[in-house]
Amino acid sequence: MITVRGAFQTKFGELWEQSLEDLIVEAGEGAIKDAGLPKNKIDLVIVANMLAEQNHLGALAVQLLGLDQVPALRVEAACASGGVAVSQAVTALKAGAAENVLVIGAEKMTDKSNGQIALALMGAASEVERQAGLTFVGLYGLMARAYFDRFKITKNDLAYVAIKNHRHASRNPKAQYPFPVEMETVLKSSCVASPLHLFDCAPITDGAAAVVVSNQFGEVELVSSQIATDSVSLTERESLTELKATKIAGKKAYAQAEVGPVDIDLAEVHDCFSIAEIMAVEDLGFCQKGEGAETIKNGDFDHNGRLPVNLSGGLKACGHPVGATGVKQIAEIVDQLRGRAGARQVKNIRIGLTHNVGGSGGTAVVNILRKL
Amino acid sequence: MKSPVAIWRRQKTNYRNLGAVGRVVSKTRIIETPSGFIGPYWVVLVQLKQGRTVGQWADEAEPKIGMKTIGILRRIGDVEPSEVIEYGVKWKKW
Repeated sequence: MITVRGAFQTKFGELWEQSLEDLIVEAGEGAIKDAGLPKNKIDLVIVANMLAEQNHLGALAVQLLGLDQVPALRVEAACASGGVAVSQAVTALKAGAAENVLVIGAEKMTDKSNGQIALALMGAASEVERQAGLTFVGLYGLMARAYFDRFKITKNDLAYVAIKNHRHASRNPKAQYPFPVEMETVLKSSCVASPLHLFDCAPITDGAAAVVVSNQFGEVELVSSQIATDSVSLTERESLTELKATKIAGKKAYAQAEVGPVDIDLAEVHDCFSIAEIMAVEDLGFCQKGEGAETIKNGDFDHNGRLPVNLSGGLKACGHPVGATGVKQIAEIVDQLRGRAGARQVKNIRIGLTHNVGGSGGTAVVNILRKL
Repeated sequence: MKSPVAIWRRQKTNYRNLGAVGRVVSKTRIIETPSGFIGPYWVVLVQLKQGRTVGQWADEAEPKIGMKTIGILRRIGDVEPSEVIEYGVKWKKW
């Protein structure tokens, strides 16, 4: 059995007083303390990060945390770095290479200008896309336009994603934007890459999260952890209105956990852009294809809905420190399943799901967790 | 700084779609541009016989979904005075 014994998330936001190293220490110390383990019981460290110019992050984390000379490595899979890192921890545990793995996701984004960040994020795209000056927002803008044309929705329909996730974030003190927003604010925000406006986009965020994944008994079981990949380039995909990697990773994760979408009590999905959440809830089977926007608008995925989605505020309102996001999603579900999610706690829940995407869909990771 | 060698190497592929004709299947207007690009500008997703590609739109007329388009030779991105200017394919109405 694989369990998540400890979980911790730092405050997300523009953390000007904290460096990447500070964030790694805060998250790592927090998760180890939460696990109730002495430091010498950690026998593998995996650091998830996408953008740091500082290399050798695995060994650096071990040094900063004062751990024994344990093996350590860095995992990079664009915005799915965190999810892939957790999945790699599971692989190490199943192989018998470790008993307690500390997975830290950390990213420091606000030391760079917006233009530098846009360029750095384009590193997750193909060379043709980079040459076209096609930003990360632009890639999802192309998908949103194709989705608009196929399913006849408008930017007004996208707005309900931001409104829901900001409403959820207003209950999360660690969120970057812990306040609700009105429809008018969302619609009047400036355009970033048409048809996507500022409030359709996850922000630039500093933050870290960490979990201790273990083969020892714990309160929360990590029942399945599945990765799937697809073409890095959007031009090579079969469809512009769904992410095949999400569908495959989801299908494999449901099969491994022996559950289906109807069994999921709550989920954290990868809403880097509003259109991404709409496609995610469809691709994960939470609603029919083409009905994502309407289902969100109807409140099915609200705090008191049939399947609460992104109670943390999601990437949109809790924040998106890219390499840390996949780990933070696990920490959020663990908090919920352990009944310590404070004002955003949902009652009578047993099974939670996380969904983490890299780039425009080149990697997807789906994890399913169960309360023991 | 852009590597002159990398730009030289990319010549083999940069002009692949020069003169190719296809149709616009999606589009986005990039307002917040990355470092090294001057905007705003349109990027179009073009369906060609041999598959899809993306590129910047280089026409005064706004791109429309379904519009017939042709690949033309244009300068790519912005450069510093000491850098090599890179050329590649952009798209215009056909």
